Amino acid sequence: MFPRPRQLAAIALWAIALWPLLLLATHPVSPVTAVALADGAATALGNAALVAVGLGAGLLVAWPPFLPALQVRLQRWRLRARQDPARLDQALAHLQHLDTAAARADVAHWLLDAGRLRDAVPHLRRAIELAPEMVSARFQLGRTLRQLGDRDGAAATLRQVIAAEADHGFGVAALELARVEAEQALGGGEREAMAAALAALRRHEARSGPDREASLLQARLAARVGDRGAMRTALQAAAAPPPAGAHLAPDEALLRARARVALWTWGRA
Amino acid sequence: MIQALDRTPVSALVALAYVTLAFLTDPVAPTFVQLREHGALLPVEVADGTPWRLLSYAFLHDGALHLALNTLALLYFGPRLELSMGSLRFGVLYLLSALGGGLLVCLWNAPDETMVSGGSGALFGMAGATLALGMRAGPHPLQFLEQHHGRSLLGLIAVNLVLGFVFPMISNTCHVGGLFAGFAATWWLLTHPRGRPDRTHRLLQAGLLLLLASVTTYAIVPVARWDHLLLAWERSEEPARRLELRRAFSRSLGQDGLLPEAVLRQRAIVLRHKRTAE
Repeated sequence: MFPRPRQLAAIALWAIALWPLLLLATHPVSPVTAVALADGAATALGNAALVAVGLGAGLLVAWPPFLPALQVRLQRWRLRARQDPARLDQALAHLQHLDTAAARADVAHWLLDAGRLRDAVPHLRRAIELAPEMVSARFQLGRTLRQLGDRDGAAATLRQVIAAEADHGFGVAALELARVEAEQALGGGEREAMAAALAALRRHEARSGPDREASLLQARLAARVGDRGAMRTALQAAAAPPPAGAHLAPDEALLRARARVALWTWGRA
Repeated sequence: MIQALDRTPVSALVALAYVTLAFLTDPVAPTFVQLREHGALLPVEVADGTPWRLLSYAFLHDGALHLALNTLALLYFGPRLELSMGSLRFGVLYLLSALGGGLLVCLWNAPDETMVSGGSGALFGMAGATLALGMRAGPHPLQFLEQHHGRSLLGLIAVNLVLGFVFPMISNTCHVGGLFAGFAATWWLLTHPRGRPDRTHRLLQAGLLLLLASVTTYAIVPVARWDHLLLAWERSEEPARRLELRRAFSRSLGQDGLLPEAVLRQRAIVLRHKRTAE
């Protein structure tokens, strides 16, 4: 039977490790042979390193999430390059005359578009202060806090959104909250919290249909609570191909590629 | 800061050693002789009775800027890594990475490579260890590429390697050796594998330890390296052995024929000069 890659690596490692000892043993008998053996080893190792670098680069490009991740990044760059900075300046100028919730939300919108999440947060907070009933600003704040890694703040804000408007964004707020709670549970590592988060994601899926990001989170939660069957089902849902003729957006393609890799790695029976 | 260093005693100790040892030499601009006397790495010196240089070079620095940059990098990587892997393992990692960097310098022994000093080989080892821990953490070894810190770590390594190629006074050989040693030590020796360690894993661990031992032995007795052969030729008195060594020396420089004795003598003078002054 042909050895596996790790076994081949072990054989190669032992061969390389024994080589200097071979040189030490050869030198007293024939120094010229020792030098010839050292030269041969250096050439072989150099060639092997070149092949390894080439293979590594090839594998990286062939790695499913690599190209979608590149597309996502390119898309972000393109959007930022197309953005008109005058719009943000206008919104800021407007704010100097009249500090209203709508003006604050407008500034936050242009800042978020420019990728300046941290700068947008105080404007969103002020918009909520000025108009507590402005659910869209609250939702945007929750989403931004989640992107900034403040899960507790995001969860608290999104709960306020649900309390004010249970079906905000046709369930998008509920999904966002379920995602944050899932991330919190994964970070905390408590089994009950993970099971509850998993149930919340499933409820959302039953109500609003599958969502790749939520399915990936479901798979991670299921893996942590030890439910391999549920993990595989969630990964299969996240890795499902798009309907015939449909084109996946780069974000979706990246999530699908991640799910495919996870399915190969962890989803095998 | 002091509390943080209290929780990471090895990082604090290494940083303290950096600063303290700088005062053994001129801390601002040490001379070649000062660095050589206090343990900087010269492959020919390692082969000529001072094997401790394989580790001591990692605590000496070539001036205030070198010291400041490496201490900052140590204080950035060290405490995080020490907290995540434990002080004892971190200490072993530092020494193994320094040894890895030193061994590759000795194996490579490029003619234009002069003396090597500084903890950057070991610092690259820490970067390699962080990479290995990141690759272990995800569900798949390449998962870390999808995270921001994984990509920025790879970028940091790449930028520093490019800088090593651009500036000739930086020893990239030492950096690459430290990087590989840190990665391999963390992946195979200092952390547990995902599943139960199987026979192949134990074979890999034993192979790695054997590699370390055999390459260290070879660095101390580099029987196929031109400088060692030259020294042996100079010291040998038996004509037949001298001829063999001369032939081996010629071969080690890529010459199929026999180089004249005058060339060997001239090379010996150059080598002696390289060992005593820059």
